[in-house]
Amino acid sequence: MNKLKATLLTKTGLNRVLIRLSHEIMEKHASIENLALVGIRTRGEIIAKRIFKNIDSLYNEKIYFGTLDVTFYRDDFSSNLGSPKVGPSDITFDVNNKHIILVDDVLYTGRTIRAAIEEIFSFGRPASIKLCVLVDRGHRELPIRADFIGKNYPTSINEHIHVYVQEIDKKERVDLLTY
Amino acid sequence: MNLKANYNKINGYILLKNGKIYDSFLSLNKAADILIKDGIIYKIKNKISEKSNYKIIDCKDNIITNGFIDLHSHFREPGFESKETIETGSNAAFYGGYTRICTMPNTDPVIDTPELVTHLINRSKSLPIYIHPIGAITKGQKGKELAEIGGMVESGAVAISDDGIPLNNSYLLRVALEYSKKFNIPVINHAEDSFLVNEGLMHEGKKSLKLGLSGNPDISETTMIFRDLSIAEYVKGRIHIPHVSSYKSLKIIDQFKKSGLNVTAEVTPHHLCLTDEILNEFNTDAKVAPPIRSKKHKDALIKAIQTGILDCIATDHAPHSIEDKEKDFKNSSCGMIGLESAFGLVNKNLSDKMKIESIIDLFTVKPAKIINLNPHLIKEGSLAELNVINPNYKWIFNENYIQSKSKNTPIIGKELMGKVLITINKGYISNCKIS
Amino acid sequence: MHKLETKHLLGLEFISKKDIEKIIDVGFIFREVLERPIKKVPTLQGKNILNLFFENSTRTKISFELAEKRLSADVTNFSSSFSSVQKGESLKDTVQNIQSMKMDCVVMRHPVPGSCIQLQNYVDSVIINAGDGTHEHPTQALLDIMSIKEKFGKIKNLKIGIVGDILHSRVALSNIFGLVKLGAKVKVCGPPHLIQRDIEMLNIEKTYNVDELIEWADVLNVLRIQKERMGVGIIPSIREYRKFFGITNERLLNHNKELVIMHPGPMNRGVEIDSEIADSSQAIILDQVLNGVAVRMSVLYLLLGNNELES
Repeated sequence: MNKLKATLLTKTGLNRVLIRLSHEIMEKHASIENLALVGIRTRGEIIAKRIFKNIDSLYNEKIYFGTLDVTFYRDDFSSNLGSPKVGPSDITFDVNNKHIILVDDVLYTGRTIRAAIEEIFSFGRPASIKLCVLVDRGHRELPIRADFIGKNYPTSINEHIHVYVQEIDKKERVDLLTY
Repeated sequence: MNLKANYNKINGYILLKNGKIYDSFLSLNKAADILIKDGIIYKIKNKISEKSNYKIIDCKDNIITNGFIDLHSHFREPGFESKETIETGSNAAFYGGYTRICTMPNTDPVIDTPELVTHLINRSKSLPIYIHPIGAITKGQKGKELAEIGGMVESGAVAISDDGIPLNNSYLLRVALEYSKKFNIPVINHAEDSFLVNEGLMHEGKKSLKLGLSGNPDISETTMIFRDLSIAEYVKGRIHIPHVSSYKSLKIIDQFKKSGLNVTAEVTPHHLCLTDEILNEFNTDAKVAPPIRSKKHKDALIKAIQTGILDCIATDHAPHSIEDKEKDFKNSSCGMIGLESAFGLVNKNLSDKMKIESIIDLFTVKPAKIINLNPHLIKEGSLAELNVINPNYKWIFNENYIQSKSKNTPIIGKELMGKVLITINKGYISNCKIS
Repeated sequence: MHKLETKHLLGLEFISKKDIEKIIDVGFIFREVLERPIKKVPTLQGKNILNLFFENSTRTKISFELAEKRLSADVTNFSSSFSSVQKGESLKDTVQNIQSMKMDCVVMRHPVPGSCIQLQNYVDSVIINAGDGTHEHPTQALLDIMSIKEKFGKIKNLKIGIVGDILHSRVALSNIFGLVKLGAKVKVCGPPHLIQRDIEMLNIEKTYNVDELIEWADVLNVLRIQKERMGVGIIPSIREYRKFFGITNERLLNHNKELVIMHPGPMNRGVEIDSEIADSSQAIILDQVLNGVAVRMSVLYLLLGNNELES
C-alpha cells in the first residue's frame, strides 16, 4: 500500500505552476501558427487542457490540441498501475510541419515519452517535438529530457509521485508516496 | 339411345325439380328445387313454380350433390396424346360427375416448372372441368434435384408427386417434405419399394402362385409407407398416400394419424371393389400398380374407408392404348381408366355399409380438404357446380359409356349401381340423362 | 486490464459476454488507428503468427493478414487444399511441424467442424478460429456485432434477422451465439430444409416467410447462397430462391421500411440480394469489411499483446 510521505504541491501551488508553464511555452514561441499541444492520457491530457485554457484566457489564442493514448506503443507496462483502459488517440489536425509539445504529468523512465514520440510519427512528420511535464522525478532509462518542467523532485525507486486532479480524483495536489 | 356424352353451354333457365339436395361442404341435406340461370344458381326453394322458358329436369328419386373431385388422374398430355388428351380426359371426367381433376405430372415433358403448370390450367379454360395440376417433386421426375416447387404452387399446383416412380432417395423425400411446408401443399409419394417389387406383376399370394406370375408382395408398399410417414413425422411435414392397396398399410396409417401426423390417404375404386381373382384370365386391363390384392386386403380397405383411416376415393385414371395393353402380361403397361365407372363401382360395394351421404363425401368434401380446394357450393348466387345422381340405378358398364380415348378397363360387363345423370359446371351441362 | 478471460478464440459459444464486449470496445479503438496515415502500431512486434488455411478464402485471409501486419507481427501463410492434406499428413502432423517452429498464434480455417478445438491438444500457441466447416466463424460474427453496435449504439433488445442457408452457415451460428449472449432478439429465415430442425433451442425464432422477417427486423443479415448447393439439387433454381427468399428491390420497396442491411460477402448480386439494395445507403457492407480488420486487430491484441501487469 502507498504511504503518504509529503505533499509537494497544494491546489494553489499546482495552479501557479500551470500558469507559469503556460507563460513559458508562449514565451518560447513567437509565432503560434504551427504550435500544437498534445496531452498523453490520462493525466497528461488533463494538464494539457489546463494549459490550453490558460493560454486561451491569458493570450486569447487557441492553439492546436490533441490527445494520445500510447498503450499500443508501450514496451513496459509496469507503470500502468491504476490507469483506465485504452481509449482512442485523437489527433484531428495535420501533424506534418507542426511544432508539437507533448504534455504529461510525471516524467520518470522516459519510456512513455518514447512511445508517444513514435506514435506521433505514425500521424505524420512534425517539425519539432518538445516535452512539457508537471513533475520530473529523475531515473531516466532513455535519453529523454523535458523542455518545460513544473517542478524537479529527485526520488528513490521505492517512492512514487502521484498527481491528483479534480476531474479524476476529486482533489487537486501532488503527493510523494512510498510503497 | 345415344349414350355418348355431349356437353352444351347453358342458355337461359334450368329447373331441377323434385330432387333432394346434399351439399357435403355445407352439410345441407334437404328436398328442394334449384333454378339455374346462365350457369349460376338463381334460386333454391321448396317447389319453384315452372315457367315456359325454363328447361325442366325432373329429379325425382335423385340426389343433387357437389361436383366430384379426383386427386389422381393421368391425362397424358403433353407427350402421350395417343392415349388421352386434356379434352378427352375432361370428357371422361365430366361424364363421371367430376368437375375438378388433379392431373399427375408424369407426362412428356414432366410438369416440373411453373410455365407447364400454367399451360395445363390455360388448356382447361375452355373445358367443362377445372384442372388442378400436381407438380413433380424432382426435375424430370428423375429423383435427383428438387423441382421449382414454390413457383409451381404459385402458378396453381395443388400438390407435388413423382407418381409412378417411388422416391427411393429418402433424404430427398425429407427435403421435399420440409421445403413444401412453406407452400402448404401435401407431398404424394408412390409408395412401392422398387427392390421388393422386383418386377412382380401381380399381388404375391395364392393367386399368383397358381397363375405363375411373379409376385409383388404387400410389404413393398407397407415398408415404404412406414418410411414415408416416419420422415413426415420427423420433419412435421404434410403427406398424402396414393392408391393404398394393403391391409398392413392401414395399421401404420392409423398409428401415425393417432399420433397427430398430418397424413391423408386415398384408395382407388379398383382396389376397393376388386380382388386378384379378376386376373384369372390374365386380363391385362387389370394389371395395375400397386397390384389388386386378395380378398383379405379388399375387405380391410372397405372397413378402413368406413372408419376414416382412408380419407377418400381417387381413381388413378390411367389410359393406355390398345397397343400398350395387347401385349403379354409382362410387357403390358400398368393402369386402368376409371373416371366414368368410379361412382357406380364404389357405390355398389359400399351402399350396404355406408349412408349415401357418406359415400358422396368420399368424392367431394374429403378430397377437397386434402388440397385446400374451395369449390362452388350449392347456394344462391354461386356458380352451379353440381351433379344429379340416381343412387339406385343399376347399369351394366360397357364400351359405350367410355368417353376416354382409351378403353383399358376390366369393369366392362360388370354391374354397377348408382349413376351420375347430369353434371353442371362452368356454365356447361352434360347431356347424358337416360329418359 | 487488456486481457480476455479466454486463452483462445474458438467460437462465440465458448467466450463470455464480457470478453465479447471487450473485443468490440477495443475494436472501435483500432478503427481510429485505421484512419491514420500510418496505420500501424508496434504492439505485436516479435510475435509469430501462422495463418493456416485448409480451405479457400481470399477475404478472411487478407483481413487477418492486414490485421496482423498492422500490429507489426511476423506473418507466415500456409495454404493447403483439404484433399492434399488428406493424401498424406494428418492434421496432427501438419500442426506439430508448426509447433516446433514456435509460433505464438495459429489462425486456422478448416472445412471440418471442431478442428480448431482439436488443435488445442497438439500445440501450445494461441488459437484463433477463422472458420471451421459449418460450425463457427467467430471473427465474422464479432465484426457483424461491432457493425450493428456502430449503427445503433447498442445490441440489447435489437431485432436481428438472418436470412439464407442457415443450416450450412457458420456465420449464422456464431452470430446467434454472440447476439443472444448480448441480449439481442434473433430470428432466422430460409427454405425450411435449410434451417436446423431444433434451432429454436438456441433461444431464437424462425420463420419461412421473408416478408414477415423484414417487417419484424431492425437489421437484416443476408447470407450468401452457395451455388454449389444448387448442383446438389436442394435449391431448385436461382429464380425460385430469389422469388421466395431474395432481398430484392421490389420486396423492400413494398415494405417501405428503414432496414439496415448486412452481408458477410461475397455477394451473389441478383440472387440473394439485389445490387440496388447492396449499394444503397441502408447497407453497411463496406463498414463490415473495415470493422473486420479492426476487430481482428482487437482479438490479436487482446490475446497476444504483452499486457501482463508486472509487479
